[in-house]
Amino acid sequence: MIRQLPNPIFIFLAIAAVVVILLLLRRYHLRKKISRYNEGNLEDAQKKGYEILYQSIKKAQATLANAELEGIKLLAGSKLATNKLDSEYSTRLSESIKFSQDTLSQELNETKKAVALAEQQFINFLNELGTSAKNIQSNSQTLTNQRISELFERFETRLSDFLIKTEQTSTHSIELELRSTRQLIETYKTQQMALIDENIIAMMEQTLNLVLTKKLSIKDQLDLVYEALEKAKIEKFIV
Amino acid sequence: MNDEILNTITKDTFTLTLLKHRLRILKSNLLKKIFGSEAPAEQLSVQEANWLSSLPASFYQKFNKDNVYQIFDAIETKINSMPVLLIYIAFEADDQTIYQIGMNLKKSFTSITLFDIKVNPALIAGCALSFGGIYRDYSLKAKIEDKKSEILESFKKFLR
Repeated sequence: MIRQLPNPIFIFLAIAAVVVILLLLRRYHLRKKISRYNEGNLEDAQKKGYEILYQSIKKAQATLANAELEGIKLLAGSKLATNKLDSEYSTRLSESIKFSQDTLSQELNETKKAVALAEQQFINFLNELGTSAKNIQSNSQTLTNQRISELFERFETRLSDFLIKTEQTSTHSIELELRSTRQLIETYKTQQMALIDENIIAMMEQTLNLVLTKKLSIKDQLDLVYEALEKAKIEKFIV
Repeated sequence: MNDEILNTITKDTFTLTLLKHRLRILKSNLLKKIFGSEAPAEQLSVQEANWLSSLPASFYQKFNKDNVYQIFDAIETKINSMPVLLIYIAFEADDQTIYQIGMNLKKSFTSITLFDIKVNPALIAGCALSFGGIYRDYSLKAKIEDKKSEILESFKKFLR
């Protein structure tokens, strides 16, 4: 939107009015000054003053007329220039807008293209990233599986070693225990068998003692004594 | 002379205990006869009295008041130095049985004059002998001990 400029005539008139006011003020001061310093020449001065004022008015009027004229000229020129300027401004504005629109449209297209390209690149990047992530995940999975497999393998190996060692130790201990137990059993068995043997013999002797004491006659007993004496003689224990 | 006296006594006296007992009653009897002691005579059993009367008169004539003590001292000394066979038997033997054993010993062994009997029922049967500090067991118990392994083996076979 174009701001409306002030009319040059009014500007000019305003300037002229200001000048007149200034001149009147100057004249008033001069009159005061003159009346103060030269009361005698008051009349002359008044005359001169009037004359000057007259001259001034005349000049002011002439100037005002010139100013009005100039103002009119200026106004006309200004209107023309304004119209021209408006037209040029409109043309330039239209051109500028058109240019801007074209530029914007072009920029927009370029931007769209760039955005599409960037989007495509981003999609490609995302795809690549996804592929890379999949590859990394796959590699990581493979590596993890490999590590886990190795870990399990080592664990199995160590567990197997441990179990074998434990089994060997246990077997050795059990064998020692068994050997000791067997030895104990054997010793116990031997002792018990010896005891049983002793008991058998003792029972047998006791039974024979009980039976033979009753069943053997004195003659039989004597025969056995004679037999023992005969044996002692044979052995030359007694002669 | 002492040997003759001792042989006469040991003719039917085989055990050391009996020999000492018979010597004691013989001495007592002789001292009473020789010295006429006022002390009451020892009460003798029938067997003891029979044994004293079984001795021949010539046997008594060998004793007088001068040698009686010497003879008995010498005989006792002799007895103490004589070898004695110790016989362990499993049964209680009466005089008759001991006599039979003595007769058998006298017949079979020349070196044995005296023996003594000890009872050990653990022997079961037979006897064990101890002579000159050596002990030998000829009893049934010893035979069982000798055959212990065979007996046990047989017994175990029976158990199977």
